[in-house]
Amino acid sequence: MRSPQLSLLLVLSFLILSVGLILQSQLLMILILPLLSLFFLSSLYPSATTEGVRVRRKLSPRMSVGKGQIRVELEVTNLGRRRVEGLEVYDEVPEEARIEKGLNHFLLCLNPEETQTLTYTLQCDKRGHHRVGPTRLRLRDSLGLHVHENIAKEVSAFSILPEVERVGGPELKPKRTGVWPGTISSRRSGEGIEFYGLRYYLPGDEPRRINWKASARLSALVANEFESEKVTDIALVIEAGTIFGDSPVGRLVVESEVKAAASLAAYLLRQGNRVGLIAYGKTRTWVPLDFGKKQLLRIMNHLTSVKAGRTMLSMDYVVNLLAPILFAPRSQVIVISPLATPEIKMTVQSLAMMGYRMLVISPFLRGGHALGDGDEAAEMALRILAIERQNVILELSRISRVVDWNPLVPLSATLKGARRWRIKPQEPR
Amino acid sequence: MAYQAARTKMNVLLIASSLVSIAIALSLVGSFPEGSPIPSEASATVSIALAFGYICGVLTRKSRVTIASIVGLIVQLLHETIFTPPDAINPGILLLRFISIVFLFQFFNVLTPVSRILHDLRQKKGELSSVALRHINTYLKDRLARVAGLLILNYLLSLALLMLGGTLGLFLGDFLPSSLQLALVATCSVALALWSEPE
Repeated sequence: MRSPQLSLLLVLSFLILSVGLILQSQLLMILILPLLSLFFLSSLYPSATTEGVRVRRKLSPRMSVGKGQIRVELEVTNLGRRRVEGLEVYDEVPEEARIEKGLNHFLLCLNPEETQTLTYTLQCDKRGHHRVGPTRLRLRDSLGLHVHENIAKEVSAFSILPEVERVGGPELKPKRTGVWPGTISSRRSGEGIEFYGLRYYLPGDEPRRINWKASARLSALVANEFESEKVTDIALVIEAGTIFGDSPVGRLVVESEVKAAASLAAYLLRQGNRVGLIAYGKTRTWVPLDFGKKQLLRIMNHLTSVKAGRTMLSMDYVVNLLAPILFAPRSQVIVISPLATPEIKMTVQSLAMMGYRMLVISPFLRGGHALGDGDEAAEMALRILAIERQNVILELSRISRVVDWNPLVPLSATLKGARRWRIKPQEPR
Repeated sequence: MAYQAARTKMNVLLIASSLVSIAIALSLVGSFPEGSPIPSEASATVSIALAFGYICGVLTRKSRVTIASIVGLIVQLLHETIFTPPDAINPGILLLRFISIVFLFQFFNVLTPVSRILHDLRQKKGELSSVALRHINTYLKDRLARVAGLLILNYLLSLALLMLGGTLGLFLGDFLPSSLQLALVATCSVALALWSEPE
């Protein structure tokens, strides 16, 4: 390929040639000679091509939680028979990442069969699946008049998983629990620490279970019964179709939602529960119920790709369609949403009507934090939105527990506070 | 530190190489004294100013300043060539002066990739590893040496072409008018330029 420098010299040559012909000046025509010999010499010494150059990339680690440093190792090999001199190697890096150490742009001189390993480190603080590559290779001939450009299309990916906060977990009262011991109150007597009731002592019961006061009153041995604690099925539903759009506020709300979901999933899976996920945003994604570390990784992986936005299908439709397929009946559903759209109210109501036990965690920014100072119209809109949201919370609190969460406050603190309010959920009429 | 080292090395190499060309160009400024409409002092002043512009452009990485200075030097040479009577000009010296200007451009051209890397380095606040620095040094050393060699080869080749053209001109002069000779040279030049373009 012609370089801009060659084009410039060609223009100069034709300019001199034209002026020389017009003026019929032999001296001017003489000036063409060095340029012509330059072109000739350039064609005599062509550079090696980039065809024989192979590029391989290795990223470590490929996954990081919250934010992380990714080390990129680029292995460039000259498989050709000629020496490659002045090979420019430019590795494309994602916009969200910045270079922490080294540089993604190199100039190499490689002998035949020689391999060079080049490294640089990226710092990425933004959640998501990011791609490194392709690699652009550029090689100029000795005089810089011809350029060979090639793109090594190999692309590597790394993921910045959502940040996980250590949370105490919300108080959950699902209608249905599993058979394995866990931490969720099952409303059945068995092994546990919460008092459940009294019954007559049976041979084989532990003597420390005897309730002496009740036994004295009834003149028979009476034992305490405790509420058994079991594992349960918990479905997380995230609504990332924020009405704030792609504004900093919208991004903060969505990030808070994702972080809350990741923290809750990590906590609940650690307790042995089965956890599933439905995320609604720019893309829809879901994970069926399962337990264990692999499930946590699966959920984190899906949460990584959650982006603020809306799709053609309404959230109500999506959740109503997926919930019966993915989640066990009468299990616990935790909806994480700013409750800023009317359709989320319908979604929660229809899930409650299907028999799921509901908990809504609602992140919402208030006042000056939300849209910045000075914009009166925006502040007014936000105030109206806050009032509408309060109405939605009021309506939903009849069928579900609602935790109003300011994302600037840690979730664990909000959940601790929420545990103290014992709002008895009402059955939907 | 690596950035500073690479930048200093590049500047030193470039200025050292360019100074040779500038010295040749400047030493030949007053070489067409007889009949030239421009006083040689004025011509020398303009050339020195343009050479200074070139050095400044290189040091500050302002490629437009560098290119403008080179274009200025070429325009000055063309102007002097056009307005000086042909008998007062030695074609060999004219060639040497032109080649020295063209190679100022070539030296600048060779350093473009290094400049680009240094620009990235400054913008992204990265750093050069010892391996990268070693490769840049090798590239600069090899490429500048090769360009300097090609400069000499280019001059010799141009002189040879000039002599060949002169002989042919004497021979063809009896048969063809001078305008036709010029047209022939132009056709050959275009053909050679197109032929030298690789696939």
